[in-house]
Amino acid sequence: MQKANKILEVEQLVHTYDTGSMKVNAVNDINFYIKEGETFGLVGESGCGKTTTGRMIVKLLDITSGTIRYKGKDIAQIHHKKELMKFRREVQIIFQDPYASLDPRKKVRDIIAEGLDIHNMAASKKERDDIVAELLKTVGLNMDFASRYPHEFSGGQRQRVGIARALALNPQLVICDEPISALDVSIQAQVVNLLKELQKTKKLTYLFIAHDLSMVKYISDRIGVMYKGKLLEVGEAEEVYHNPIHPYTKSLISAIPLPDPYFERERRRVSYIPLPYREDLKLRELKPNHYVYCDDAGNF
Amino acid sequence: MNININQIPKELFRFKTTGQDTAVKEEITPSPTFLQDAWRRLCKNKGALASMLLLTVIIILAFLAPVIAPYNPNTQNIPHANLPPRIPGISINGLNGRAQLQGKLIDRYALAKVPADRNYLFGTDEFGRDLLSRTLYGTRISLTIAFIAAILDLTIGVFYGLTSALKGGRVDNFMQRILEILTGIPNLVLVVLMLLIFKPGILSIIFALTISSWIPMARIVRAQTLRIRNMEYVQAAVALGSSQVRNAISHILPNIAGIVVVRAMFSIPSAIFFETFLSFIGVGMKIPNASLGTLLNSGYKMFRIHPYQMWIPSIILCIIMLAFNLFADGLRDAFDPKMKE
Repeated sequence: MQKANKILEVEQLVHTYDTGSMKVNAVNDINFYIKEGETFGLVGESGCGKTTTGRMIVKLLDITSGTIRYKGKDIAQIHHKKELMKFRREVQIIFQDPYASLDPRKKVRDIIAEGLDIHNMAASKKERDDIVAELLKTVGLNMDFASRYPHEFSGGQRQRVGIARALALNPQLVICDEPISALDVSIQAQVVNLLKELQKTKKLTYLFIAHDLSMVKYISDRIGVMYKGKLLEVGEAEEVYHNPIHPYTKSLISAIPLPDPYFERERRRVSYIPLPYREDLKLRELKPNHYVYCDDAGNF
Repeated sequence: MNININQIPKELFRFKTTGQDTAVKEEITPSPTFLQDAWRRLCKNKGALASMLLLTVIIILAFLAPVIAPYNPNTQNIPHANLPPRIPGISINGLNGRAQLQGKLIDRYALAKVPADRNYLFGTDEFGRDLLSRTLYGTRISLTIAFIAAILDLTIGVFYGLTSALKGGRVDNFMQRILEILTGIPNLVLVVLMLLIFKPGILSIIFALTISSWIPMARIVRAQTLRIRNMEYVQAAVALGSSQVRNAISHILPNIAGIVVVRAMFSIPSAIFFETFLSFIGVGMKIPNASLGTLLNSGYKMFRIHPYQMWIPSIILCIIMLAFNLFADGLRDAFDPKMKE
């Protein structure tokens, strides 16, 4: 695993939302990479640029500056139709809101088979139905659900349909854009376990975006912590969780509730007061494989 | 009892495997399609259903006019002029051929020496033309214009709105400015000006409709497309490799179909009204040809003496307008019940 190839490299990535009167750097100069077969968790509060990052990686949003390399190839340079279709097949996304991400006018069968139709991957109607049935089974849904409409399902079931749709093309990299934050806790566990299981059987690589640090720690091999468009800390999941260096990460971890009244009584939330922006702040490797956003002297 | 999470060995921690939510094997019947659902809801709406049946009858009668009209609508028969309605077997004053003449009820048919087997169910006009036939033909013209307006809405309006919204940016800006210019042209002035080139008639009315009737539809489709385009299911389709044309056809159109159909239904009565209005002020249909507007025009002049000449086309017009509006309302409720997400 340690020597695995980098499937995705993100360098100096910037995305600016231009509203005409105001420019907002939603993603501001971030660098990270994802190795083949691992799960990279991206955490941060609402509006810190996690989703923007994810959407840029699947080419749903344009890159303002910087590069994203998928398997060593700059994705901004993918113009040729054939190449683009190959990229679309290999990089898929699971959306946050299972109520908005399924077309209400389509049956589950057609939703899941959409990718197959676009890429002409099913030779006959029979084959198409078989693939859909197989996918439904994979995500733990009843095959007979194929002829139903999304509004007849619960949130967890819908999210499974969304996962099946992403898996239909046999992707290699899956961007999970807060796939569990719209679900309640018991369903979250089901979906996360399903994702883990699928990773094992289908050798998937995940970019797992969430705002729940404990859930991210559970699923991820490495974690990146984002705040206001910047990556503040990147490292192995256990390391970041147990030995956080950056005060923002510490603050995040101090906010996680534990199901233990004695611990909870003494838990004190550490609040984070960001320092003013300085030129010399950047991501530095303070410990092996543990990067922190700081200046030369290790101040944040 | 002091349980600290740190005292519990890490290895014991395991996510509880919850039961699969599909464990219960149930009989699953295919769910009704969107159209079946909408139809079911429409059937529950008595007003809309009655309007639909009424409209069907009116449409069939109007388009069968050449077959069922008892007389030629344009043949004048001066001796039979201004006869009130006479329906055989009914002896209610007003429907039995009697009418007031110098303060007395007189059988006008006997006065005009009309054969006993010749009945004018809706009466005749000042030139002795059968009003039933004229009403049938007139309704046919009005409905034709209405359907042309609806087709323009569905083709130009939808296409324009979709293109504008999906192209976006400068193209969108340009297309919207064109719409604003077109909205700025006063319809009535345009039709009057066209009388300089065309003879008054169905062509100039259609031309006037072509210029402006689809504009509200184009705006609605654009707004709805902009809304749907950013929905996550369209984004998901893009991520799957779907092209813009495919998105428009397979995601956007089905999701705005309800709104589009309802809007088209609402544009029908306004087109009928427009035609009637033009004909009424004399810039619409050419003279001998009947339309609801020309019937009203000639009827209102005789209203004090022969009220039936205005009553009948007015009632028909009201019924058509009301039925289309009720039906469109019913369709809107059926397509957009707001009960499901």
